[in-house]
Amino acid sequence: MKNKISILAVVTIAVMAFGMYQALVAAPTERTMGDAQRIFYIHVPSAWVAFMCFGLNFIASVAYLIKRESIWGDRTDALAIATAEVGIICCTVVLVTGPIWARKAWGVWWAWDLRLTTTLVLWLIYLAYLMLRRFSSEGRAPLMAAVLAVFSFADVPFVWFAIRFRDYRGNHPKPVFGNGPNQGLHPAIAKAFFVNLIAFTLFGVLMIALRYGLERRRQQNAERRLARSIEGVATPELQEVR
Amino acid sequence: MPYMIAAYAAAGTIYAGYLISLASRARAARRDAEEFRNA
Repeated sequence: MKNKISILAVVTIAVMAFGMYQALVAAPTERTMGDAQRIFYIHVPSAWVAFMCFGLNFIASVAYLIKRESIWGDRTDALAIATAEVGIICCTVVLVTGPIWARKAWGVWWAWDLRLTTTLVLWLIYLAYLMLRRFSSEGRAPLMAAVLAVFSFADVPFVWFAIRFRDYRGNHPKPVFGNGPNQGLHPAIAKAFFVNLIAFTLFGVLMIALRYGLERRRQQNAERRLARSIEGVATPELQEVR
Repeated sequence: MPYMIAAYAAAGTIYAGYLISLASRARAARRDAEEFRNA
């Protein structure tokens, strides 16, 4: 497992370095927005990884609700918390880089546009999910969090389709792919974008793998602590790791 | 240019901060496991 993560880390660093070269050097400067358009190469891939994480969180939570009494219970729960945490980190990047780009492109930091508002709501929902996990008592937390995660995922299609509604008239641009004729990206911009999309996907998988490993270790420590206390053996003063 | 630099710096800080937090928590969890083994 450790070797696989090391290989993934090396590949991610290499692809990420190539992606940053494509984004900052090789891709042409956009005519109207100038260099600010290069924010696109981190903003959209981060949003994609956030969606991927929330999708995986939904699948892991459903799997936990079905299999929680089996050996898959702890694993699916660990995957759920790992994907929620990485998803919220990526969503934070989206919500920070978006307004910086918006200030240059639209002249305002924020607009209560459908896409922006639903993304902010999504971020707040998963923040509530992490707070529930952090501050509720150990026993029921995974079950309550799994139920919350299933409902939380309901916001994801709203964010995804927000700019795809036919009557959408918000500030956020409509999708550049699959949006009719004379739409799309310049080939050099498309190349830089897809390299970064792959790089960020690898980076997302790496962060999930690291967080999953940490959660599994934490679960094993908690099981040992419980076993010791049942046996009546004095447990050492251990720091709670979350 | 300043907008691009600000966005890349912000994203880099958030991702790097998270990786540092993961490394620190992993070290603490390893230390816990070690203490159990030695207890």
